Amino acid sequence: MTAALSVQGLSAGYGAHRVLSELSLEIGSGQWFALLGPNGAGKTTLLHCIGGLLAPQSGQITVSGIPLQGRALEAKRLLGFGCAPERLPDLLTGRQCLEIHAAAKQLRTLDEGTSSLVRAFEFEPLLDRFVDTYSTGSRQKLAVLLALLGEPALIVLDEAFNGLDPASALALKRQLRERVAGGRSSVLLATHALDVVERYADRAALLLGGRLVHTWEAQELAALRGSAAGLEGAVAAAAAATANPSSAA
Amino acid sequence: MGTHSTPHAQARRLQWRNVLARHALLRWSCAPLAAALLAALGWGASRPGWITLLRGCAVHPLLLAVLALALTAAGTSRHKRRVQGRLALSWLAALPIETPLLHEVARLPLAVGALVLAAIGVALSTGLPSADAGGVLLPLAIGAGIGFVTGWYWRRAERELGPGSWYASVRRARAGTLRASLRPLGYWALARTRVWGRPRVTARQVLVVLLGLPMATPGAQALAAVAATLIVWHLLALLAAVVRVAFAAAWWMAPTPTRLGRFTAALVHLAWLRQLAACVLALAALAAFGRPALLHRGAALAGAWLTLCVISGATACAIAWRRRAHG
Repeated sequence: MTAALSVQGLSAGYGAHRVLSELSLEIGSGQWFALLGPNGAGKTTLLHCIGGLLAPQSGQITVSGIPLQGRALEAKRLLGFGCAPERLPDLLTGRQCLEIHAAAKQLRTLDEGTSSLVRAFEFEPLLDRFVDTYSTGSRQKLAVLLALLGEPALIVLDEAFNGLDPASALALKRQLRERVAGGRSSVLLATHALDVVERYADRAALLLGGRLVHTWEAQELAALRGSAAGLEGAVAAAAAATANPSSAA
Repeated sequence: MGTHSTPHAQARRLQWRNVLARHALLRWSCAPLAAALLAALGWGASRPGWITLLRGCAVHPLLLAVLALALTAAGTSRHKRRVQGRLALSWLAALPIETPLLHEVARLPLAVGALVLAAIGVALSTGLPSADAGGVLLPLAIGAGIGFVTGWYWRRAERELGPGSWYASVRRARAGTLRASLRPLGYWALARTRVWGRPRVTARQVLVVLLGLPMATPGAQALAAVAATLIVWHLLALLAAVVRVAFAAAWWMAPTPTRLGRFTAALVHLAWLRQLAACVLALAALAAFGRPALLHRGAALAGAWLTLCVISGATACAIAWRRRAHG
């Protein structure tokens, strides 16, 4: 079965500063993958490479088997990318942003999933207001709506729950879970919210110094849910083991 | 105040040091630029015209003092309000230190005063009688001093400044509907133009033009000059808006499967139609003068401008597109 996302030997950075080194990663179809790591580990850089915002120095990215470098348009048709809320266009309304992304994805109108999320987010009154009048949470909602538009095969989100009120966060988690469970989408979520990862993710990986140093499979995550230390303890232990391999051995 | 202002001054010094360390061109051009400015100041201050002006000012010390007072008071009041706003939002605002408001506000008038003093000093060394120098310096110093104190305590009614979108209108809001279209990309550029063309900005251009007209200019000509200024400003703002939005939109649209051609057409065509409308309006106004030669020249200029707009808009889109990683 073709992986929803495959990253092979990816190296990327900014000028002389290399952030990701020979990183490889695979996300199966209908899977929620959580990317963990401290600030500056390279999570956003990896997501920017997948979103086509940053050119990798080496390596290959494929979305559902379609290489992003060679067949970008085809690959991006399968991609829903949640951009940083502060990079949304200030002088467009929420509706106009949705219209542009819908046209780019060759949709005629909003899909049912996104429409229900608009209602759950209570976003309708904000649709005809300019983005520069939005609060941080409202911007986050719009960024998420744009990413989920058109039922993409791969949804890429960076700290998507930041600034969301509890009701909206719950609606988003349920929506993502529903799409993943139905095999309609896979999710790549970069986050620090370990409780979300424990409860909703199928797999998780720890990114440290531009490399994936540990991956937790579904069974391991399920086991961690019941343990005292939980994922928090497991992440700390994995980070310590990476920093000092001899003591871990 | 000296020790209290240290974190702010230190932060500014370090930021400047980092900027200079990062940009080699700026680092190497700073000293020559400063030397060139000082040389220009020295040259200008040693001109006979400057000396004549100073001698003329020395004859009207009261007028000079009142002028210095008014300008310093207005400038200080405005500058203080801006500095207060900046300090309130500073990343150092939460520190348990006194905000260096007086220090920050006084720096600008002190710098201007030092420049004026230097210019008078140069004039003094090149033939300005010391009595005249004193006759200018004393009223200037008194006026500026009183003006600074007045401006410091002068509380003008503060206007609430809203976000940029206050000046842009919402287009085609259709409750409950969503029609997929790249057309709003063009609205983005138009909205940016409206923000740049808001009355607060254009009023300054118009004022400069009106002040530059000779006193005997007939009203009709003054109005024509104002109209021409507004049209030129609108045309320039439209072009700049397209270029700026092209880069922001290309980044924002990078993860979507959009082609460069569609992107460029959506972004450029509305702004270009606006350019065309403004040019037609300007040509119609020129036609009213009844001078065919002027109209022909205007038409040629408008054609060249519209071509330039298409080329620069498309080029900006292409460059912005290529800056993205893929596709």
